Amino acid sequence: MVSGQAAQSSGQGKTQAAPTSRGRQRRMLLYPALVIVAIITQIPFVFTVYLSFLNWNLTRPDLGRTFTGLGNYVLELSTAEFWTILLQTLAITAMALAMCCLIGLGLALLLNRDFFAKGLIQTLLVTPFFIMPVVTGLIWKNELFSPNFGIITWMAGLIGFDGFNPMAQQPLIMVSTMVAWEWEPLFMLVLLAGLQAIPEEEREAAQLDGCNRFMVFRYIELPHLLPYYRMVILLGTIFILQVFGEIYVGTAGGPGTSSMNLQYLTYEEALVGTQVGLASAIGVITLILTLIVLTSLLRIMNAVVKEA
Amino acid sequence: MSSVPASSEKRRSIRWSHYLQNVLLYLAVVVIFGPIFWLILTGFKESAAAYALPPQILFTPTLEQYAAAMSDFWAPFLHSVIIVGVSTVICLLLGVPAAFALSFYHANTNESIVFWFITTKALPQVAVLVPLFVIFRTLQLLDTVWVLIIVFVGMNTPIVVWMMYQFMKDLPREILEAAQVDGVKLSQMLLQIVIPLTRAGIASTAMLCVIFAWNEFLFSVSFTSIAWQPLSVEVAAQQTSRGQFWAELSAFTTLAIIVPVIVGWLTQKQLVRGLTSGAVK
Repeated sequence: MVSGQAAQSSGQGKTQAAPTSRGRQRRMLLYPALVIVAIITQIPFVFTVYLSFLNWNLTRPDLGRTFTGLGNYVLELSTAEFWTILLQTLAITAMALAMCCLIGLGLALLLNRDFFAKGLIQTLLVTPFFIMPVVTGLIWKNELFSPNFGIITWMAGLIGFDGFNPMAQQPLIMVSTMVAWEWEPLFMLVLLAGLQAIPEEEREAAQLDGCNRFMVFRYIELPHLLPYYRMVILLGTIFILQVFGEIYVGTAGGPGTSSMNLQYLTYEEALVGTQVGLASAIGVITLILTLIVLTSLLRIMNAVVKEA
Repeated sequence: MSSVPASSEKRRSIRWSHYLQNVLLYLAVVVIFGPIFWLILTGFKESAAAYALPPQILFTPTLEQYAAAMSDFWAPFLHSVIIVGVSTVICLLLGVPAAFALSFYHANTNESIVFWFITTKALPQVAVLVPLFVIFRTLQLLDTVWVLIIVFVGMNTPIVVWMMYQFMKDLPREILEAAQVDGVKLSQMLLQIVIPLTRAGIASTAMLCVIFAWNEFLFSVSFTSIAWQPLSVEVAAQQTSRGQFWAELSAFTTLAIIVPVIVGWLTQKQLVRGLTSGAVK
Protein backbone atom coordinates (compact mmCIF):
# COMPACT_ATOMS: atom_id res chain seq x y z
CA MET A 1 0.00 0.00 0.00
CA VAL A 2 2.55 2.47 1.19
CA SER A 3 4.93 1.55 -1.57
CA GLY A 4 2.22 1.94 -4.20
CA GLN A 5 1.78 5.57 -3.25
CA ALA A 6 5.52 5.98 -3.23
CA ALA A 7 5.77 4.68 -6.74
CA GLN A 8 3.15 7.13 -7.97
CA SER A 9 4.70 10.09 -6.31
CA SER A 10 8.22 9.28 -7.42
CA GLY A 11 7.46 11.12 -10.65
CA GLN A 12 7.22 14.39 -8.73
CA GLY A 13 10.99 14.67 -8.54
CA LYS A 14 13.15 16.95 -10.60
CA THR A 15 13.46 14.28 -13.24
CA GLN A 16 12.11 14.95 -16.66
CA ALA A 17 12.37 11.37 -17.91
CA ALA A 18 9.23 9.29 -18.15
CA PRO A 19 7.98 9.07 -14.56
CA THR A 20 6.28 5.70 -14.88
CA SER A 21 9.40 3.90 -16.04
CA ARG A 22 11.37 5.59 -13.26
CA GLY A 23 8.75 4.46 -10.78
CA ARG A 24 8.98 0.91 -12.06
CA GLN A 25 12.75 0.99 -11.77
CA ARG A 26 12.48 2.28 -8.24
CA ARG A 27 10.12 -0.51 -7.33
CA MET A 28 12.42 -3.11 -8.84
CA LEU A 29 15.29 -1.84 -6.72
CA LEU A 30 13.30 -1.45 -3.53
CA TYR A 31 10.79 -4.31 -3.51
CA PRO A 32 13.09 -7.33 -3.16
CA ALA A 33 14.47 -6.01 0.14
CA LEU A 34 11.06 -4.82 1.31
CA VAL A 35 9.29 -8.08 0.50
CA ILE A 36 11.97 -10.39 1.88
CA VAL A 37 12.34 -8.47 5.14
CA ALA A 38 8.56 -8.46 5.53
CA ILE A 39 8.38 -12.20 4.88
CA ILE A 40 11.14 -13.06 7.34
CA THR A 41 10.25 -10.64 10.13
CA GLN A 42 6.65 -9.39 9.92
CA ILE A 43 4.63 -12.31 8.63
CA PRO A 44 5.99 -14.75 11.24
CA PHE A 45 4.80 -12.31 13.89
CA VAL A 46 1.21 -12.59 12.61
CA PHE A 47 1.70 -16.34 12.91
CA THR A 48 2.99 -15.84 16.49
CA VAL A 49 -0.24 -14.10 17.44
CA TYR A 50 -2.24 -17.01 15.96
CA LEU A 51 -0.12 -19.63 17.76
CA SER A 52 -0.48 -17.79 21.05
CA PHE A 53 -4.17 -18.71 21.06
CA LEU A 54 -3.42 -22.43 20.75
CA ASN A 55 -2.67 -25.15 23.23
CA TRP A 56 0.02 -27.05 21.34
CA ASN A 57 2.88 -29.16 22.64
CA LEU A 58 5.30 -30.19 19.89
CA THR A 59 6.44 -33.34 21.65
CA ARG A 60 2.88 -34.48 22.39
CA PRO A 61 1.24 -34.78 18.95
CA ASP A 62 -1.36 -37.07 20.54
CA LEU A 63 -2.84 -34.07 22.36
CA GLY A 64 -3.24 -32.22 19.08
CA ARG A 65 -3.77 -28.51 18.70
CA THR A 66 -6.66 -26.98 20.53
CA PHE A 67 -7.88 -23.42 20.53
CA THR A 68 -7.74 -21.87 23.98
CA GLY A 69 -8.44 -18.24 23.22
CA LEU A 70 -6.64 -16.07 25.71
CA GLY A 71 -5.86 -19.10 27.88
CA ASN A 72 -2.10 -18.89 27.44
CA TYR A 73 -2.09 -15.20 28.34
CA VAL A 74 -4.22 -15.76 31.42
CA LEU A 75 -2.00 -18.66 32.46
CA GLU A 76 1.19 -16.59 32.19
CA LEU A 77 -0.09 -13.31 33.55
CA SER A 78 -1.57 -15.00 36.62
CA THR A 79 1.72 -16.43 37.86
CA ALA A 80 3.91 -14.39 40.17
CA GLU A 81 6.97 -15.87 38.50
CA PHE A 82 6.10 -14.28 35.17
CA TRP A 83 5.81 -10.82 36.69
CA THR A 84 9.11 -11.29 38.51
CA ILE A 85 10.79 -12.22 35.23
CA LEU A 86 9.19 -9.25 33.51
CA LEU A 87 10.54 -6.94 36.22
CA GLN A 88 13.93 -8.62 35.94
CA THR A 89 13.95 -7.90 32.21
CA LEU A 90 13.34 -4.24 32.93
CA ALA A 91 15.87 -4.20 35.79
CA ILE A 92 18.67 -5.67 33.65
CA THR A 93 17.93 -3.14 30.92
CA ALA A 94 17.74 -0.17 33.28
CA MET A 95 20.91 -1.05 35.19
CA ALA A 96 22.90 -1.80 32.05
CA LEU A 97 21.70 1.38 30.34
CA ALA A 98 22.56 3.50 33.35
CA MET A 99 26.08 2.05 33.48
CA CYS A 100 26.51 2.50 29.73
CA CYS A 101 25.38 6.14 29.87
CA LEU A 102 27.79 7.03 32.68
CA ILE A 103 30.83 5.00 31.62
CA GLY A 104 30.32 5.85 27.97
CA LEU A 105 30.24 9.55 28.80
CA GLY A 106 33.29 9.34 31.06
CA LEU A 107 35.32 7.53 28.44
CA ALA A 108 34.18 9.85 25.66
CA LEU A 109 35.27 12.89 27.69
CA LEU A 110 38.64 11.25 28.43
CA LEU A 111 39.15 10.34 24.79
CA ASN A 112 38.22 13.75 23.42
CA ARG A 113 41.74 15.14 23.93
CA ASP A 114 45.15 14.71 22.36
CA PHE A 115 47.38 12.18 24.05
CA PHE A 116 49.89 9.45 23.33
CA ALA A 117 48.64 6.30 21.52
CA LYS A 118 45.07 7.62 21.30
CA GLY A 119 44.08 5.34 18.41
CA LEU A 120 45.35 2.21 20.14
CA ILE A 121 43.62 3.02 23.41
CA GLN A 122 40.33 3.76 21.71
CA THR A 123 40.60 0.49 19.77
CA LEU A 124 41.18 -1.51 22.95
CA LEU A 125 38.23 0.18 24.67
CA VAL A 126 35.91 -0.60 21.76
CA THR A 127 36.77 -4.31 21.64
CA PRO A 128 34.05 -5.71 23.97
CA PHE A 129 31.43 -4.59 21.45
CA PHE A 130 32.73 -7.20 19.00
CA ILE A 131 32.81 -10.10 21.46
CA MET A 132 30.15 -12.83 21.26
CA PRO A 133 27.59 -12.62 24.09
CA VAL A 134 28.28 -16.28 24.90
CA VAL A 135 31.97 -15.46 25.31
CA THR A 136 31.10 -12.63 27.67
CA GLY A 137 29.12 -15.10 29.75
CA LEU A 138 32.03 -17.50 29.71
CA ILE A 139 34.52 -14.81 30.78
CA TRP A 140 32.33 -13.74 33.69
CA LYS A 141 31.51 -17.25 34.81
CA ASN A 142 35.03 -18.68 34.62
CA GLU A 143 37.79 -16.14 34.30
CA LEU A 144 36.51 -13.38 36.58
CA PHE A 145 34.01 -14.82 39.05
CA SER A 146 34.59 -18.56 39.22
CA PRO A 147 34.37 -19.54 42.90
CA ASN A 148 37.49 -21.68 42.43
CA PHE A 149 39.88 -19.77 40.21
CA GLY A 150 38.24 -16.46 39.23
CA ILE A 151 40.57 -13.49 39.34
CA ILE A 152 38.09 -11.14 40.98
CA THR A 153 37.00 -13.84 43.42
CA TRP A 154 40.66 -14.24 44.35
CA MET A 155 41.11 -10.47 44.78
CA ALA A 156 37.99 -10.32 46.93
CA GLY A 157 39.44 -13.11 49.06
CA LEU A 158 42.64 -11.11 49.53
CA ILE A 159 40.73 -8.25 51.08
CA GLY A 160 38.71 -10.53 53.28
CA PHE A 161 35.56 -11.44 51.35
CA ASP A 162 35.35 -15.18 51.80
CA GLY A 163 32.73 -17.10 49.87
CA PHE A 164 32.50 -14.31 47.29
CA ASN A 165 30.33 -15.74 44.54
CA PRO A 166 28.33 -12.94 42.91
CA MET A 167 27.19 -15.06 39.94
CA ALA A 168 25.04 -16.99 42.43
CA GLN A 169 24.45 -14.25 44.99
CA GLN A 170 23.77 -11.25 42.74
CA PRO A 171 23.04 -12.78 39.32
CA LEU A 172 20.94 -9.83 38.10
CA ILE A 173 23.70 -7.33 38.79
CA MET A 174 26.22 -9.66 37.18
CA VAL A 175 24.11 -9.99 34.03
CA SER A 176 23.77 -6.19 33.92
CA THR A 177 27.52 -5.72 34.20
CA MET A 178 28.09 -8.19 31.38
CA VAL A 179 25.67 -6.31 29.17
CA ALA A 180 27.12 -2.94 30.15
CA TRP A 181 30.62 -4.17 29.36
CA GLU A 182 29.50 -5.20 25.89
CA TRP A 183 27.48 -2.11 25.04
CA GLU A 184 29.54 0.63 26.69
CA PRO A 185 31.76 0.96 23.56
CA LEU A 186 28.79 1.95 21.42
CA PHE A 187 27.80 4.66 23.90
CA MET A 188 31.41 5.82 24.08
CA LEU A 189 31.79 6.05 20.30
CA VAL A 190 28.50 7.81 19.69
CA LEU A 191 29.02 10.32 22.53
CA LEU A 192 32.59 10.90 21.35
CA ALA A 193 31.24 11.68 17.88
CA GLY A 194 28.88 14.12 19.59
CA LEU A 195 31.68 15.83 21.49
CA GLN A 196 33.78 16.10 18.34
CA ALA A 197 30.91 17.74 16.50
CA ILE A 198 30.93 20.72 18.89
CA PRO A 199 32.67 23.69 17.24
CA GLU A 200 35.86 24.53 19.17
CA GLU A 201 34.90 28.24 19.13
CA GLU A 202 31.92 27.54 21.36
CA ARG A 203 34.16 26.06 24.04
CA GLU A 204 36.69 28.86 23.68
CA ALA A 205 34.04 31.54 23.88
CA ALA A 206 32.66 29.98 27.04
CA GLN A 207 36.12 29.80 28.56
CA LEU A 208 36.78 33.45 27.71
CA ASP A 209 33.55 34.28 29.50
CA GLY A 210 35.07 32.67 32.59
CA CYS A 211 33.44 29.24 32.48
CA ASN A 212 35.41 26.49 34.20
CA ARG A 213 35.65 22.95 32.87
CA PHE A 214 32.51 21.81 34.64
CA MET A 215 30.48 24.77 33.37
CA VAL A 216 31.67 24.13 29.83
CA PHE A 217 30.44 20.58 30.22
CA ARG A 218 27.15 21.57 31.81
CA TYR A 219 26.17 24.43 29.51
CA ILE A 220 27.93 23.66 26.22
CA GLU A 221 28.68 19.96 25.92
CA LEU A 222 25.78 18.29 27.70
CA PRO A 223 22.98 20.08 25.80
CA HIS A 224 24.79 19.26 22.60
CA LEU A 225 25.08 15.59 23.56
CA LEU A 226 21.39 15.09 24.35
CA PRO A 227 20.31 14.12 20.80
CA TYR A 228 23.23 11.67 20.68
CA TYR A 229 22.10 10.24 23.99
CA ARG A 230 18.56 9.91 22.66
CA MET A 231 19.75 7.98 19.64
CA VAL A 232 22.13 5.65 21.45
CA ILE A 233 19.70 4.97 24.32
CA LEU A 234 16.98 3.95 21.88
CA LEU A 235 19.36 1.70 19.97
CA GLY A 236 20.77 0.26 23.19
CA THR A 237 17.32 -0.40 24.67
CA ILE A 238 16.24 -2.36 21.60
CA PHE A 239 19.21 -4.68 21.92
CA ILE A 240 19.56 -4.85 25.69
CA LEU A 241 15.91 -5.83 26.20
CA GLN A 242 16.79 -8.89 24.12
CA VAL A 243 19.86 -10.07 25.97
CA PHE A 244 20.20 -13.84 25.76
CA GLY A 245 23.65 -15.36 25.19
CA GLU A 246 25.16 -13.77 28.30
CA ILE A 247 22.44 -15.27 30.46
CA TYR A 248 22.48 -18.66 28.70
CA VAL A 249 26.17 -19.23 29.40
CA GLY A 250 26.74 -16.98 32.41
CA THR A 251 23.92 -17.96 34.75
CA ALA A 252 21.51 -20.17 32.75
CA GLY A 253 18.80 -17.91 34.12
CA GLY A 254 19.50 -18.99 37.66
CA PRO A 255 19.85 -19.70 40.43
CA GLY A 256 16.25 -20.79 39.94
CA THR A 257 14.77 -18.13 37.72
CA SER A 258 16.46 -15.23 39.46
CA SER A 259 18.36 -13.94 36.43
CA MET A 260 15.93 -14.85 33.65
CA ASN A 261 14.50 -12.31 31.30
CA LEU A 262 11.51 -12.68 28.97
CA GLN A 263 13.78 -13.65 26.10
CA TYR A 264 15.20 -16.55 28.09
CA LEU A 265 11.77 -17.58 29.38
CA THR A 266 10.41 -17.77 25.83
CA TYR A 267 13.38 -19.85 24.74
CA GLU A 268 12.81 -22.24 27.63
CA GLU A 269 9.09 -22.60 26.99
CA ALA A 270 9.58 -23.01 23.24
CA LEU A 271 12.72 -25.10 22.82
CA VAL A 272 12.97 -26.91 26.15
CA GLY A 273 9.30 -27.22 27.10
CA THR A 274 8.08 -27.29 23.45
CA GLN A 275 5.00 -25.37 24.55
CA VAL A 276 4.39 -23.58 21.27
CA GLY A 277 1.29 -21.68 22.34
CA LEU A 278 2.62 -20.55 25.69
CA ALA A 279 5.96 -19.45 24.23
CA SER A 280 4.17 -17.50 21.52
CA ALA A 281 2.07 -15.71 24.09
CA ILE A 282 5.21 -14.65 25.96
CA GLY A 283 6.72 -13.51 22.65
CA VAL A 284 3.69 -11.31 22.00
CA ILE A 285 3.83 -9.89 25.53
CA THR A 286 7.55 -9.19 25.04
CA LEU A 287 6.82 -7.20 21.90
CA ILE A 288 4.12 -5.19 23.66
CA LEU A 289 6.49 -4.48 26.55
CA THR A 290 9.23 -3.44 24.10
CA LEU A 291 6.89 -1.03 22.35
CA ILE A 292 5.73 0.48 25.65
CA VAL A 293 9.30 0.92 26.86
CA LEU A 294 10.50 2.43 23.57
CA THR A 295 7.62 4.87 23.13
CA SER A 296 7.74 6.09 26.71
CA LEU A 297 11.53 6.47 26.56
CA LEU A 298 11.25 8.37 23.30
CA ARG A 299 8.57 10.64 24.72
CA ILE A 300 10.63 11.44 27.83
CA MET A 301 13.80 12.00 25.83
CA ASN A 302 12.10 14.18 23.25
CA ALA A 303 10.82 16.37 26.06
CA VAL A 304 14.31 16.60 27.58
CA VAL A 305 15.95 17.42 24.25
CA LYS A 306 13.36 20.06 23.49
CA GLU A 307 13.79 21.72 26.86
CA ALA A 308 17.58 21.94 26.55
CA MET B 1 44.44 36.24 34.71
CA SER B 2 46.66 39.06 33.54
CA SER B 3 49.74 38.28 35.63
CA VAL B 4 52.33 35.84 34.30
CA PRO B 5 52.68 33.61 37.43
CA ALA B 6 48.96 32.95 37.57
CA SER B 7 48.88 31.80 33.97
CA SER B 8 51.86 29.47 34.39
CA GLU B 9 50.19 28.04 37.46
CA LYS B 10 47.08 27.52 35.45
CA ARG B 11 49.09 25.80 32.74
CA ARG B 12 50.61 23.50 35.33
CA SER B 13 47.23 22.57 36.70
CA ILE B 14 46.07 21.85 33.16
CA ARG B 15 49.05 19.57 32.67
CA TRP B 16 48.32 17.76 35.92
CA SER B 17 44.73 17.26 34.95
CA HIS B 18 45.98 15.90 31.63
CA TYR B 19 48.14 13.33 33.43
CA LEU B 20 45.34 12.42 35.78
CA GLN B 21 42.99 11.85 32.86
CA ASN B 22 45.62 9.65 31.19
CA VAL B 23 45.88 7.55 34.33
CA LEU B 24 42.10 7.16 34.47
CA LEU B 25 42.12 6.09 30.85
CA TYR B 26 44.82 3.48 31.43
CA LEU B 27 42.81 2.14 34.34
CA ALA B 28 39.77 1.94 32.09
CA VAL B 29 41.79 -0.02 29.54
CA VAL B 30 42.83 -2.48 32.24
CA VAL B 31 39.25 -2.97 33.41
CA ILE B 32 37.64 -3.09 29.99
CA PHE B 33 40.23 -4.81 27.81
CA GLY B 34 41.83 -6.75 30.65
CA PRO B 35 39.36 -9.69 30.61
CA ILE B 36 39.93 -10.23 26.88
CA PHE B 37 43.70 -9.93 27.26
CA TRP B 38 43.63 -12.43 30.11
CA LEU B 39 41.52 -14.86 28.08
CA ILE B 40 44.07 -14.76 25.25
CA LEU B 41 46.94 -15.16 27.70
CA THR B 42 45.31 -18.16 29.41
CA GLY B 43 45.12 -19.96 26.08
CA PHE B 44 48.92 -20.06 26.00
CA LYS B 45 49.30 -21.58 29.49
CA GLU B 46 49.78 -25.15 30.69
CA SER B 47 46.56 -26.70 31.98
CA ALA B 48 47.52 -26.42 35.65
CA ALA B 49 48.97 -22.91 35.27
CA ALA B 50 45.57 -21.64 34.11
CA TYR B 51 44.17 -22.30 37.57
CA ALA B 52 47.15 -21.00 39.52
CA LEU B 53 46.38 -18.40 42.20
CA PRO B 54 47.88 -15.86 42.47
CA PRO B 55 47.57 -15.72 38.68
CA GLN B 56 50.76 -16.26 36.74
CA ILE B 57 51.77 -13.37 34.54
CA LEU B 58 55.18 -14.66 33.52
CA PHE B 59 55.20 -18.18 32.11
CA THR B 60 56.58 -20.15 29.19
CA PRO B 61 53.93 -20.02 26.49
CA THR B 62 52.75 -23.26 24.94
CA LEU B 63 50.69 -24.01 21.84
CA GLU B 64 49.47 -27.26 23.37
CA GLN B 65 45.99 -25.87 24.12
CA TYR B 66 45.54 -24.58 20.59
CA ALA B 67 46.55 -27.95 19.20
CA ALA B 68 43.94 -29.60 21.41
CA ALA B 69 41.23 -27.04 20.65
CA MET B 70 41.70 -27.23 16.88
CA SER B 71 39.98 -30.59 16.45
CA ASP B 72 36.61 -29.15 17.42
CA PHE B 73 37.22 -25.80 15.82
CA TRP B 74 37.33 -26.26 12.06
CA ALA B 75 33.83 -27.58 11.42
CA PRO B 76 31.89 -24.86 13.29
CA PHE B 77 34.34 -22.25 12.00
CA LEU B 78 33.57 -23.25 8.40
CA HIS B 79 29.85 -23.24 9.18
CA SER B 80 30.13 -19.70 10.52
CA VAL B 81 32.19 -18.53 7.54
CA ILE B 82 29.70 -19.95 5.03
CA ILE B 83 26.56 -18.81 6.85
CA VAL B 84 27.87 -15.33 7.66
CA GLY B 85 29.49 -14.85 4.25
CA VAL B 86 26.50 -15.90 2.16
CA SER B 87 23.98 -14.03 4.31
CA THR B 88 26.05 -10.84 4.21
CA VAL B 89 26.35 -10.96 0.41
CA ILE B 90 22.59 -11.44 0.08
CA CYS B 91 21.95 -8.57 2.52
CA LEU B 92 24.10 -6.26 0.39
CA LEU B 93 22.48 -7.40 -2.87
CA LEU B 94 19.07 -6.61 -1.41
CA GLY B 95 19.89 -3.63 0.75
CA VAL B 96 22.19 -1.51 -1.41
CA PRO B 97 19.76 -1.18 -4.36
CA ALA B 98 16.92 -0.50 -1.93
CA ALA B 99 18.92 2.23 -0.20
CA PHE B 100 19.75 3.67 -3.63
CA ALA B 101 16.07 3.74 -4.58
CA LEU B 102 15.16 5.38 -1.29
CA SER B 103 17.90 8.01 -1.27
CA PHE B 104 17.88 8.88 -4.95
CA TYR B 105 14.23 9.03 -5.95
CA HIS B 106 12.15 11.88 -4.66
CA ALA B 107 9.15 10.30 -3.00
CA ASN B 108 7.16 11.35 0.03
CA THR B 109 7.21 7.89 1.51
CA ASN B 110 10.99 7.38 1.43
CA GLU B 111 11.55 8.50 5.00
CA SER B 112 8.74 6.33 6.32
CA ILE B 113 9.97 3.26 4.43
CA VAL B 114 13.45 3.73 5.90
CA PHE B 115 11.80 4.12 9.29
CA TRP B 116 9.83 0.92 8.72
CA PHE B 117 13.06 -0.95 8.05
CA ILE B 118 14.45 0.35 11.36
CA THR B 119 11.33 -0.61 13.30
CA THR B 120 11.79 -4.25 12.26
CA LYS B 121 14.86 -4.17 14.51
CA ALA B 122 12.65 -3.28 17.47
CA LEU B 123 10.75 -6.53 16.99
CA PRO B 124 12.15 -8.82 19.71
CA GLN B 125 13.68 -12.02 18.39
CA VAL B 126 11.39 -14.09 20.59
CA ALA B 127 8.34 -12.53 18.98
CA VAL B 128 9.15 -14.53 15.83
CA LEU B 129 11.16 -17.39 17.33
CA VAL B 130 8.30 -19.88 17.67
CA PRO B 131 6.67 -19.55 14.24
CA LEU B 132 10.07 -19.58 12.52
CA PHE B 133 10.87 -22.78 14.41
CA VAL B 134 7.56 -24.34 13.41
CA ILE B 135 7.92 -23.23 9.77
CA PHE B 136 11.53 -24.41 9.46
CA ARG B 137 10.59 -27.69 11.11
CA THR B 138 7.75 -28.23 8.66
CA LEU B 139 9.98 -27.40 5.69
CA GLN B 140 12.68 -29.66 7.18
CA LEU B 141 15.16 -26.79 7.12
CA LEU B 142 16.25 -27.08 10.76
CA ASP B 143 19.97 -27.74 11.12
CA THR B 144 20.68 -27.06 7.44
CA VAL B 145 22.90 -24.41 5.92
CA TRP B 146 19.84 -22.42 4.80
CA VAL B 147 18.10 -21.82 8.07
CA LEU B 148 20.52 -19.30 9.54
CA ILE B 149 21.23 -17.70 6.16
CA ILE B 150 17.51 -16.95 5.82
CA VAL B 151 17.24 -15.66 9.37
CA PHE B 152 20.34 -13.45 9.14
CA VAL B 153 19.15 -11.95 5.84
CA GLY B 154 15.98 -10.86 7.61
CA MET B 155 17.98 -9.63 10.58
CA ASN B 156 20.66 -7.62 8.74
CA THR B 157 19.05 -6.32 5.54
CA PRO B 158 17.33 -3.49 7.47
CA ILE B 159 20.73 -2.45 8.84
CA VAL B 160 22.16 -2.34 5.32
CA VAL B 161 19.24 -0.23 4.08
CA TRP B 162 19.55 2.16 7.00
CA MET B 163 23.31 2.64 6.90
CA MET B 164 23.60 2.80 3.10
CA TYR B 165 20.71 5.28 3.01
CA GLN B 166 22.76 7.57 5.28
CA PHE B 167 25.92 7.15 3.22
CA MET B 168 24.13 7.71 -0.10
CA LYS B 169 22.28 10.78 1.10
CA ASP B 170 25.69 12.40 1.66
CA LEU B 171 26.65 11.99 -2.00
CA PRO B 172 26.76 15.21 -4.02
CA ARG B 173 23.44 15.39 -5.88
CA GLU B 174 24.95 17.18 -8.87
CA ILE B 175 26.86 14.12 -10.02
CA LEU B 176 23.75 11.98 -10.05
CA GLU B 177 21.60 14.64 -11.63
CA ALA B 178 24.17 15.26 -14.35
CA ALA B 179 24.28 11.55 -15.10
CA GLN B 180 20.50 11.49 -15.19
CA VAL B 181 20.35 14.36 -17.68
CA ASP B 182 22.86 12.50 -19.82
CA GLY B 183 20.41 9.60 -19.91
CA VAL B 184 22.57 7.14 -18.00
CA LYS B 185 20.53 4.07 -17.11
CA LEU B 186 19.75 3.53 -13.46
CA SER B 187 21.48 0.20 -13.23
CA GLN B 188 24.61 1.81 -14.68
CA MET B 189 24.29 4.76 -12.36
CA LEU B 190 24.18 2.41 -9.38
CA LEU B 191 27.02 0.20 -10.57
CA GLN B 192 29.33 2.81 -12.05
CA ILE B 193 28.75 5.90 -9.92
CA VAL B 194 27.02 5.22 -6.63
CA ILE B 195 28.68 1.97 -5.58
CA PRO B 196 32.26 3.15 -6.32
CA LEU B 197 31.59 6.39 -4.44
CA THR B 198 30.21 4.64 -1.36
CA ARG B 199 32.77 1.80 -1.29
CA ALA B 200 33.98 2.63 2.21
CA GLY B 201 30.40 2.78 3.48
CA ILE B 202 29.53 -0.55 1.87
CA ALA B 203 32.62 -2.14 3.39
CA SER B 204 31.80 -0.97 6.90
CA THR B 205 28.14 -1.95 6.52
CA ALA B 206 29.18 -5.42 5.38
CA MET B 207 31.51 -5.69 8.35
CA LEU B 208 28.73 -4.73 10.76
CA CYS B 209 26.57 -7.49 9.25
CA VAL B 210 29.46 -9.93 9.70
CA ILE B 211 29.84 -9.00 13.38
CA PHE B 212 26.11 -9.25 14.15
CA ALA B 213 25.70 -12.54 12.28
CA TRP B 214 28.89 -14.10 13.67
CA ASN B 215 27.92 -13.29 17.26
CA GLU B 216 24.19 -14.11 17.04
CA PHE B 217 23.15 -16.79 19.48
CA LEU B 218 19.40 -17.20 20.11
CA PHE B 219 18.37 -18.18 16.57
CA SER B 220 21.60 -20.14 16.13
CA VAL B 221 21.06 -22.31 19.18
CA SER B 222 17.36 -22.75 18.44
CA PHE B 223 17.60 -23.72 14.77
CA THR B 224 20.83 -25.74 14.54
CA SER B 225 22.18 -28.68 16.48
CA ILE B 226 24.87 -30.94 15.06
CA ALA B 227 25.18 -30.66 11.31
CA TRP B 228 25.35 -26.89 10.93
CA GLN B 229 25.97 -25.33 14.31
CA PRO B 230 27.99 -22.08 14.04
CA LEU B 231 30.83 -21.06 16.34
CA SER B 232 28.65 -19.20 18.84
CA VAL B 233 26.70 -22.39 19.57
CA GLU B 234 29.90 -24.43 19.69
CA VAL B 235 31.43 -22.03 22.24
CA ALA B 236 28.44 -22.59 24.51
CA ALA B 237 28.73 -26.35 24.02
CA GLN B 238 32.47 -26.29 24.70
CA GLN B 239 31.88 -24.35 27.90
CA THR B 240 29.89 -27.36 29.10
CA SER B 241 32.16 -30.11 27.78
CA ARG B 242 35.55 -28.47 28.34
CA GLY B 243 34.62 -26.49 31.42
CA GLN B 244 37.19 -28.47 33.40
CA PHE B 245 39.95 -27.52 30.98
CA TRP B 246 40.08 -23.77 31.31
CA ALA B 247 43.26 -23.24 29.30
CA GLU B 248 41.93 -25.28 26.40
CA LEU B 249 38.59 -23.52 26.56
CA SER B 250 40.38 -20.16 26.51
CA ALA B 251 42.31 -21.15 23.40
CA PHE B 252 39.11 -22.27 21.70
CA THR B 253 37.31 -19.08 22.66
CA THR B 254 40.17 -16.92 21.43
CA LEU B 255 39.95 -18.61 18.04
CA ALA B 256 36.20 -18.04 18.00
CA ILE B 257 36.42 -14.27 18.54
CA ILE B 258 39.29 -13.47 16.16
CA VAL B 259 37.16 -12.74 13.10
CA PRO B 260 34.63 -10.30 14.61
CA VAL B 261 37.30 -8.55 16.68
CA ILE B 262 39.58 -7.87 13.71
CA VAL B 263 36.66 -6.90 11.51
CA GLY B 264 35.44 -4.60 14.27
CA TRP B 265 38.81 -2.94 14.73
CA LEU B 266 38.95 -2.19 11.01
CA THR B 267 35.51 -0.67 10.85
CA GLN B 268 34.99 1.25 14.12
CA LYS B 269 35.22 4.76 12.68
CA GLN B 270 32.92 4.25 9.70
CA LEU B 271 30.51 2.36 11.90
CA VAL B 272 29.79 5.35 14.09
CA ARG B 273 29.43 7.62 11.10
CA GLY B 274 26.85 5.33 9.54
CA LEU B 275 24.96 4.95 12.79
CA THR B 276 24.89 8.58 13.85
CA SER B 277 24.58 10.65 10.69
CA GLY B 278 20.96 11.43 10.06
CA ALA B 279 19.85 9.74 13.26
CA VAL B 280 20.99 12.78 15.23
CA LYS B 281 18.84 15.78 14.54
